[in-house]
Amino acid sequence: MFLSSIQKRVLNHEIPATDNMYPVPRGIFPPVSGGISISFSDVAKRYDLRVVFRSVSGEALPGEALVITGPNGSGKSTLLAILCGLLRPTKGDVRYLRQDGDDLPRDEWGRHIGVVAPSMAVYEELTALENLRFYARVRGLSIEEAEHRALLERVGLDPDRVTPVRGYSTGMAQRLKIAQALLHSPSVLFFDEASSNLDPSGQDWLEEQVRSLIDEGRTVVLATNDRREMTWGSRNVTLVG
Amino acid sequence: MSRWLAEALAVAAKDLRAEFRTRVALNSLALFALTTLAAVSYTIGPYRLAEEDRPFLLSVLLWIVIFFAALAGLDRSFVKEEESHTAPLLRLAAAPTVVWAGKLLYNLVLIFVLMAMLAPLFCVLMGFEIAMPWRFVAVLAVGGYALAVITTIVAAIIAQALTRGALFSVLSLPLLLPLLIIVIEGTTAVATGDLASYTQSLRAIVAMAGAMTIVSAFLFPIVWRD
Repeated sequence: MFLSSIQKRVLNHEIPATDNMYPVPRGIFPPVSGGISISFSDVAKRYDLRVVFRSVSGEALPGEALVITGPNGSGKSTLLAILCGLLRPTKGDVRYLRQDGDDLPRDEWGRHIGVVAPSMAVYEELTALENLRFYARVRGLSIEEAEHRALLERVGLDPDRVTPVRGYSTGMAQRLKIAQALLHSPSVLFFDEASSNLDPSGQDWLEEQVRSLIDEGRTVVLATNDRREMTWGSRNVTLVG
Repeated sequence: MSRWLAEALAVAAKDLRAEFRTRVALNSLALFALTTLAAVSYTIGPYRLAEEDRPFLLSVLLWIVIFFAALAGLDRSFVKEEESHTAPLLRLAAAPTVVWAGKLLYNLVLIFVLMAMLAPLFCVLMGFEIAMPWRFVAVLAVGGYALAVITTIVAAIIAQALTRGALFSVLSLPLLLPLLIIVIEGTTAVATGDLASYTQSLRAIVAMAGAMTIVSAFLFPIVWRD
């Protein structure tokens, strides 16, 4: 059986195992013990005179999916960018909380989150394997080559393909983005219209992945108008536009 | 520290790999440098300048070619991340100082490749005789580093703007002008063999490069995150 470096460290008693670590049927790494919840209150965003949304509040908990819905232009992607720390809200508060209630500092959020969004791309000049190697290195992860290859196979990509990502279809590029988001085993995952470029079998696959991530105790936030994706969540925030 | 360096090297290696596959910045740098050099060598050549004016005027011409070639290509490092929408994931994955150091290393490689091609060619075509060749290399190296530090931070600032090309030149020139004056003095000194003037110039370049490195390292996380 293929073992990740973290699983090997658990076997060597270097780090403690968590309840959901074994067996790991789909996840490469386990999430942070106890998970991370996101709480946001009275969040508003304005660009000069244009108000995107006025006051949005909600909560995303480990082992659950929060679904953000709303018409086009209502600010779903903007709210997602605020929640993952890429944008600052004009007003309001976003907090990442550990199981013990401690706040996670904002500059540490990136380490614990994975994002799949249309406005965020991987490097087109590099191959899929080179992309994963790069993101692993800048995240300070020592991931073995076999693990990268396993992750690519998991998302349905051929690890031996030497074509740069520029030559990929949008669906294949989307699968690579998902691999990039899962690479560091984040406790929180953001999906913005994640199944939009996938074929029906890819959508089935994605649903299975998201449900398994939720089962593993990860916090999932989805921004979508897709009726199928809406059913994955147990909480809902609707933006009115 | 070693982990930080490894991460910075990963950013630089990624940029270099992508650049050597597309050659956008390299072509811009090389095209501008070689066109300018060809024009200068054709119109002025090695013998049109008076003997006593040569060290100073040829130093001016050399650095003008290097500076403007750098302005033509080095702004790509951050602009490309924004234009190809890869910047958000990089912001989430890497620490800001890692990105800054990686981009600086990448720009350093580009500027040193440019100088390695341009300086010997310029000396040969223009008949530029250097009395202290190793000290000339030192001026080029330190001047190139200072140039890379300044263009890296300015490129990061303008990457968010819409009128990037114009803004890069406008923001760079006030920062680069003092450096340009000092490196020209240093190059003139190594051409004429004026050791005292060379030492003074080199100290000034090192001081400026050091100050810009510190300012950039503190400024970059704010520019990158917000």
